[in-house]
Amino acid sequence: MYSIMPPRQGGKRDGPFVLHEIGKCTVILILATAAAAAANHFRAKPLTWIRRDVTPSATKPSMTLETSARQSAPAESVETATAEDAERSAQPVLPPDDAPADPAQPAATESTAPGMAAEEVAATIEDVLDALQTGSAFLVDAREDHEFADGHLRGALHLPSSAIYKNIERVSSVVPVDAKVIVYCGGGQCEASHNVSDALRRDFGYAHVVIYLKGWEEVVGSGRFEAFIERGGE
Amino acid sequence: MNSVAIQMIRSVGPPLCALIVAGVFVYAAQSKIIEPRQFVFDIKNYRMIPEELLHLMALILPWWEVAGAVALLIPATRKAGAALIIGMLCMFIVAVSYAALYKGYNISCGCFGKGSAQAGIKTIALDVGLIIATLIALVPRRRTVKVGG
Repeated sequence: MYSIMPPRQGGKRDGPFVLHEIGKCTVILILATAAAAAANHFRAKPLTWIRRDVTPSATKPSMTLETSARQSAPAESVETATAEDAERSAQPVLPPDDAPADPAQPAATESTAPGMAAEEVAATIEDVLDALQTGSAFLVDAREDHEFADGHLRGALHLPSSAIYKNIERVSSVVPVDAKVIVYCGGGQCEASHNVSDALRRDFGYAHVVIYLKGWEEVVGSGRFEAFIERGGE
Repeated sequence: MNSVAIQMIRSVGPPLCALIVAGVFVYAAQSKIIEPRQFVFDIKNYRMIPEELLHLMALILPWWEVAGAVALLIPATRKAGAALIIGMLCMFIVAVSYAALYKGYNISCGCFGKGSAQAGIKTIALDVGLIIATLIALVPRRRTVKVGG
């Protein structure tokens, strides 16, 4: 008995052979796509195939309370309001509890896009302090477990952006859907708070979600939150 | 003895590599299939895909991973499966290189859903290792044939 390798295929078969394999790939991808469509169809909450952006304009990096007021920041700026700018602003960021039913109050200023409700503007440091002192809003920390354990705002609910749907009960069991929610993460280029707020609005019906864009970076750097910082996990 | 060991490795190696690569891909896909909404955010973090296409990618990509894994295990479709898997791994390497290395985003790779490592050099190294394993899986097994009467 001898072991031999199969004879090499001649060059004449290379062209059709490659096409044959490409055809197999195409069929496999088509079948996989069909399986994806079927799985989504039978899902309890099917995803739409085309995603529509439901993020309020003022919480996008291109437009915040500060940049829209100044009208000077570039389109991709993530600069946010400072305490001084919040004081100069004539418009409250979060409406008081006895706010009129019409959400379009005060008149659209440079701080908000026309027709946008006041509560859809990004939260400022004053809003967060007010929430901590008076309980005017629920705070949600969108950072990862180890970051939350290293330090977080007192009373903040932990909803990491990497596991929103696994941990949503931490928020849904405590926060009514009509309550005011302030979401924060690390600040700077951190997208975690955007993801969490998007999920809260889009999938769980929370109507009054704003983002504290400067996040933990400002919490630590401002020195105004010393009494409100806790350490440890859930 | 050495030649016997080598023969054993050459006969066991390719199917073992196919099994490992297929297992990794199926494991990676299962959490994304179960909860695609979370995977949408993992893809979004890379900031490479238009907002409108995020759902499309989150719904289809995990099933393509499963299909490539299954195809790799079936001899008749092994080459096609390997091509799909290597293509997807190359795409992942480009995405991680762009987002984590070039742009410097501090993001989870999203490879395995919750608990995925931070996107970076280690992710790229893992993907390169999987490409090598996939290529090994394509090595034909040596066959013994009776010659003569």
